[in-house]
Amino acid sequence: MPPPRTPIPSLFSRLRTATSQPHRPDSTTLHRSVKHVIAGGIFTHIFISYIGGVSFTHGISMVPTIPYSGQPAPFIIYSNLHRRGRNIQVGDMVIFKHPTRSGQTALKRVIGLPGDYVSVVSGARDEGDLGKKAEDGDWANVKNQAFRVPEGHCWVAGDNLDWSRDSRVHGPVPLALVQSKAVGLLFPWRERRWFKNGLGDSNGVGKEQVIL
Amino acid sequence: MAPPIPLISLSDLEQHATAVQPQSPFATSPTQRLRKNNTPPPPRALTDCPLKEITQYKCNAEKPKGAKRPVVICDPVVRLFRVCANGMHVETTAWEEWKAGQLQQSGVKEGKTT
Repeated sequence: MPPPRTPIPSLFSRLRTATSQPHRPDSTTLHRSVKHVIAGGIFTHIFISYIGGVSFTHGISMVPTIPYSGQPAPFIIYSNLHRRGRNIQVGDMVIFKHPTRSGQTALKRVIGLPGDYVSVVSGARDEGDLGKKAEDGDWANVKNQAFRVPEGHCWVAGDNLDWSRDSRVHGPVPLALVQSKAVGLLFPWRERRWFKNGLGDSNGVGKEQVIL
Repeated sequence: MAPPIPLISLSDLEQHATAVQPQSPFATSPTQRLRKNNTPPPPRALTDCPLKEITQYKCNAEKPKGAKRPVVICDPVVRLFRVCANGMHVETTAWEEWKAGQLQQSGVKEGKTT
């Protein structure tokens, strides 16, 4: 049996009614959820780039401040309100784009800001120096010379001076490469805390060994 | 990369730090701006500035006698700083001892002459 024939004008009118009789609720919910996803994406992007976030860190250069024992990696909280070195003080820990290793970031403590005077410290140990005694070499000893940190730069050093590749290797870091300031340690959970500025009053009391 | 940095010996450090600090026309860092706006003069002597410190460490794995697993022992490295009124930090880790020696020496000399 042939399909029922519809005169063309009435077909048009049917189409017209079809469009004017849409599934409105469906399309608006879709529309709305797409809008929310985009807004959420924009918000997340702005938050991560300008406010802060959390991140894994790797390496032993900040031991014992940031303990590291391989897996799982420590988890830190950082603030991007300090990007490009805004309001960074001597003694803060900053995360910066590595000046010589492209694509990598590093976390170190600021020892000097532009115009500050910093002592020369001999270099860190190399892989071959593992297990040697401190007397066998000249590693991380403060020397009798100083220098002025150049304009627009900061001088950074890892807290574990014996095993840190920092400004002693790559020189002063441009403040423009500073992305954020490390503000807290979230994981390992037992050691969670907010970081304090490392610069404190000198009371002449000898500091104790830290045993991990 | 940063320009090459001239080194300053211990005996010249105080003279450098108490001199009028060079102002770069490119000074754009927050601390520089701070120094420009409320320009307190450089200190007359480094010992006028309060003494502060940052404790850093040298961590190495050691195996104590009788222990089964090696432990990581971090020896402290205390870095001393003089924080002056114009916001300048001067690391004086080696200088403090040197200065104390100098003062003692001059004291001994004065004691001999008087």
